[in-house]
Amino acid sequence: MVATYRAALIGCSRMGAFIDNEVVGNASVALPYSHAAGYEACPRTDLVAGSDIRQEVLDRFGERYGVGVGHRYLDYRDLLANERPDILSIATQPEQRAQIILDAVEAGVSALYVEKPLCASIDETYRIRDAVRAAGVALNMGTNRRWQPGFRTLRSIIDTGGIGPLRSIVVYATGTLFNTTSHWFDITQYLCGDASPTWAQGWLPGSEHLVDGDVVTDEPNGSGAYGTSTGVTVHFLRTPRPNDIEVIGDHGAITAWGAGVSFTMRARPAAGGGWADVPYPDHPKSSSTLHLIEDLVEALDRGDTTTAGGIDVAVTNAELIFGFIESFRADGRRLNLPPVGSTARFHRSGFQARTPRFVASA
Amino acid sequence: MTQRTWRVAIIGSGRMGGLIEDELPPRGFGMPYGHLSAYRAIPGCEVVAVANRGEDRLKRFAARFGIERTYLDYREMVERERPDIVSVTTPSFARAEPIIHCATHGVPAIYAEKGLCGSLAEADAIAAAVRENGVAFNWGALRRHHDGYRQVREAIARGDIGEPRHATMWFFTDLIKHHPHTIDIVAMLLGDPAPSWVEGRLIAPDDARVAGRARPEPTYDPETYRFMPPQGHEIADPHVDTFRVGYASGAEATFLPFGRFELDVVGTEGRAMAWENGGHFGVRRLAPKRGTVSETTFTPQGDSPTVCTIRDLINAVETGTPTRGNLDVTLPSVEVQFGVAHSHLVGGRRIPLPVVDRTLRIPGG
Repeated sequence: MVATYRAALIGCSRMGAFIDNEVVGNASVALPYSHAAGYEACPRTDLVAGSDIRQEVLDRFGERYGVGVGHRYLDYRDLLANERPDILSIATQPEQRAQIILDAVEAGVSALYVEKPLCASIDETYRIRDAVRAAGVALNMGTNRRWQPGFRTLRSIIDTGGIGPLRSIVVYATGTLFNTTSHWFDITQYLCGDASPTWAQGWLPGSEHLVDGDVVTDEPNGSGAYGTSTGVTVHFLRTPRPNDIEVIGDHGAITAWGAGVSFTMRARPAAGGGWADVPYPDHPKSSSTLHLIEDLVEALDRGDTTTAGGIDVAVTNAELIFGFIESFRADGRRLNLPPVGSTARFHRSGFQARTPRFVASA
Repeated sequence: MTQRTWRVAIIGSGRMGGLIEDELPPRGFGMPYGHLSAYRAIPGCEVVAVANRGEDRLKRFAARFGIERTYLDYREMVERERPDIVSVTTPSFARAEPIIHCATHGVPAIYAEKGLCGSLAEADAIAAAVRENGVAFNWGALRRHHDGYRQVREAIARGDIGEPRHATMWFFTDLIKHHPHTIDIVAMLLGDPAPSWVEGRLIAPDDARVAGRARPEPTYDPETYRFMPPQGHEIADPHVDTFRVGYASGAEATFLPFGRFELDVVGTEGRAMAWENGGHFGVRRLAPKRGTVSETTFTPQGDSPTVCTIRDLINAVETGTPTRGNLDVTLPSVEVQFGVAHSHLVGGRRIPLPVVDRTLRIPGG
């Protein structure tokens, strides 16, 4: 008989449970998108409990996903003690995430699905890494696009030499560094074969006032570049272009338009000749959240921690975030990675979480 | 009315002076491309003399193009010929002195190749000489005068892409001789806002992209505060990795070290494109309320950019109006060039413009 894993959710708001209501009809997203909806759709998981610090959010979550009052917790530590989940989702704000991850590992959770960014400092990043590795926990971070079929196809084209040796990736990002650029860091990490970044040069355009000593007081805009051990340079340009990604090899280039809504490819024969449009392979749209959860389920089935994401990928993502911040703090100087001495930390004063959209728009 | 004759003298009998057509297809929108052939395409212009420091090259040039009066010393040429226009097509490390000499010795119009000079101190001296003597000046950053780019600029100025926010320029080349093309055309398309900062890096001397080149990468000598040519060469012109420029308008530009001289300007409502080194010009505009996308393409018309540069210079002399490539728009590009080098020397740190230090020397091509 196939095992069903007990899943629980800490942080039952937008990405935890209700963002599906905001993205109906969004061409770049295949539902289910929230953690809870992913567990609901996955035949191998049962969503058994939830925790949130806001009573209304907790109750609406319970009502929507059929989680009884006795399994709803205002204090996540009670959830960990009482429910003993196999898989735990942590979809809180980043400032709280590190302690919850560490507590979850301590409580014996076998698999973690944590939202991005991983946490709020490099020190926290390495404490999480050490704890997760020591406990043998499978971890995937919610930078979902590495599980999105269009990008998996793109990676396959790169791996099979379809555009020649990969040289550059250009991301036209429009979002903020922690919440959104973390997505673009991750998809570029993935497309580079998760090769180690060796340097970063970052700037926080228009957000210079948000760095107060060691404290980043709100979500900054991020732009800059990093280089990998394989010689690829990845550029993040803050422009009004809506999250287009250009992947450039010696004899081919692929553009992922609008965060992967569609893909186009141009290539020329390796032996020489002109560039021409090449049909991009079909890639049926399906839920990246569901694939991410299935990836964790398979790791649990095998009893190992190998996934398409993993703690090392999540750590690298955080190193890129703080590499950009530390480069900015060094007046834009190119810095070697990892930024092991980083003292910066993300701490928003007076942050007010949004109320999720509890029902879908008509 | 009798057409006026314009007496032209050329300093530098090399590639841009007149030989570059040998490297290019005989027809195309860019032709005539070199200074000599462009002057000869304009009625009223007569190239009366040429000067070059190397005698063999000067003689070959004069014989090939039928120029009777030649000079090894450009000063003598300026004194004797009293030209109306002088083209200065020497390498940039040897350009400041002839520009300044011409400006201070009665030449009313100067067409200087790029890069402008070997240091920002030289740029300052050029600016003083040209401005104090009321000299009409154009620079060899030709695309500013190219009708395709000009149509794109007009579309941006009309508001066809909304407010221009970011330019992306794709080209891998050297800092002094060829990056004026990229820096100048980006500035022109953005409306020539003042650059307020630059950050970037030069490539490492052993970078695979320049392996096997006839002229190796230069080295930097902190003792003499200059980039040093490789052994057996006069020119030290480092290739550039990524660099970025911020402008007083709030727009930014990123210069990426690959591609085929392609350029996008992204605005709040659309995107202007100049792709494939003049092969495609267009504007793509989003109408958010209607959810529609429209694309307009432009076909360059008229004379070649070099001919337009000269005609613009003549017009400036005749009317007293500034040239399109005057020093007010040229000098900021030179600041950016040297700012990139300064940024590189401090690890890519952001450098406010104008650059404070004026003495760093880069004897480019």
